[in-house]
Amino acid sequence: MNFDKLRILLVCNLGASTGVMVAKMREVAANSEKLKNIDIKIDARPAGDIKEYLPDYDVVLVGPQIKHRFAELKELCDKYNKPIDVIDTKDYGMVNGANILKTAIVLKVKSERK
Amino acid sequence: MAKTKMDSFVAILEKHIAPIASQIEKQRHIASIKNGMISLLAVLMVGSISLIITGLGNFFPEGSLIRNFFDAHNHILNLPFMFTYGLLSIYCAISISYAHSRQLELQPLHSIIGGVLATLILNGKYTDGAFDFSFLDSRGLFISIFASLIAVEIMAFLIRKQVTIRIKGLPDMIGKTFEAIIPLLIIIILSVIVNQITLSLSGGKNLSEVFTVMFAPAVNSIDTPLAVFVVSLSEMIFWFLGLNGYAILVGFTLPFMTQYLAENAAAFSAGQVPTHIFTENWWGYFLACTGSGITGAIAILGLFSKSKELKAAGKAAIVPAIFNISEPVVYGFPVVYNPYLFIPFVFGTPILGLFSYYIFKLGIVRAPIASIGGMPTPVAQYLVTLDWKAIILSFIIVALGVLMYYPFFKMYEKSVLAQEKEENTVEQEILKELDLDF
Repeated sequence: MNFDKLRILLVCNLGASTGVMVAKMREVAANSEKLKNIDIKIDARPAGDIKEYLPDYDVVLVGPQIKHRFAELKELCDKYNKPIDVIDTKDYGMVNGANILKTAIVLKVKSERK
Repeated sequence: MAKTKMDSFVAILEKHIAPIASQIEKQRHIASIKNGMISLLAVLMVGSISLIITGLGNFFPEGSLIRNFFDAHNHILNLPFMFTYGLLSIYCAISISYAHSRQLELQPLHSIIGGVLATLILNGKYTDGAFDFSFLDSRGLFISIFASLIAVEIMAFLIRKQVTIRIKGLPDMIGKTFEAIIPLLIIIILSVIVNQITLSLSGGKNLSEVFTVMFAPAVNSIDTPLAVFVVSLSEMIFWFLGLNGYAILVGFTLPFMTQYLAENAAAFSAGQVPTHIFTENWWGYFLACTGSGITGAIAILGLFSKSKELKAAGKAAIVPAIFNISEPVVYGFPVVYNPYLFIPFVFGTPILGLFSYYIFKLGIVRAPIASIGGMPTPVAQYLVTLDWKAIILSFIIVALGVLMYYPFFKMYEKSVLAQEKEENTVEQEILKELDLDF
């Protein structure tokens, strides 16, 4: 991984259920040896005012419960050049912080190769 | 066979319903109402502190030291309530104008001033030259929403058409201030004209009074068994497709629900019986007790499941369920696109909703009077009603949920177990072949 900073933004309706995911992801990140030297920041926010804080993040992950807004959110993220993806529903349901974190890292690596 | 039929049914649902969802959420005005009204919940929560503290004071017997203290300082304890619920239309104007100015990419400050000005004028009445503020409570709520949206739209229109004062060479900040002068003036003039016409045509009633009289049936129509059923059924169809039905529908219902809660809170504060049921927190904590679809019941069934997979899903979902978060259940078990759970999830939830609606309608449990956030079940149910019977009701709802899901869950469990067995043997064989050392 050729970056030392990764700022991940999770968005859902009110930031409540993504809040649960964030707690789990932070735990995974804190316990990882490989991620020890990377400054990782993970936050959950409501999708309603994404414009306000989008510039502060590197990758955006969308909760599956608002995937009907993906097109609208992607358009915005494209404008700011931020990679965005919908979180896998199974990972979301099982609160699989490790997999969601992997998705974010892959998204970041992929966007840097472009 | 039945499964393929179900799949095509779900495909039809998705094809027709999902685009509706994205259209609704993309609609600028509905989005602004939703975002604005959700921000307004913070004001309601602060105001509710008064009610909750006063309610706790009533626990102590009449004449006791603590009760006397509460009674003697009632007017001070009531301040948070008075200055929040009592001026709700102002806060509503602020948050809706702010939300809408963000949508239209305008300067928030002048938009807020415009929305508040229009709200104040349209809810105004002047006796002997003095302004009557009494309509700025929940009675002015609907007019406040419309006035703010329209004021911000006017602002955006005039700025786009450059009907503004522009002075060259001014610093940007001061330039923006001048830019707002003409739009604000036009908003004031239009509001005064509408206000004066309404007052004179209605024999001295302001716009909010006229609105309340004319649209009372419409405003109260959300608080009926039919509306509860329809809203809940639609919500569950969206959730079944994996979309947050609450978020999609709440833009329409929040203005009504906020009005109901404010009326309930005022009634409770005045020592009367609150009468409205379908408030936002009734939806959140009773209709969607432990999560939309009474998903806590599924989490409990998962905990006791013979299937490893469902047990793991139950473990992941149970704590969020206590906090009324449904997503881990909806995506974990999953409920989404799951033909086995379609019937109880989509049709059972509104029926259980009607059950709890009638419990409140019959006056067995006090209707919601306070707004709170982030509290677990059943503390939340108690605090929003300040009625201990609400705690029992929340357990009954979950128990009924377990009964409702049980037969369907067992069928689903059987199919999962059969699949697990199949996978296990294949996996075991591969592992044997590989002969790994860990």
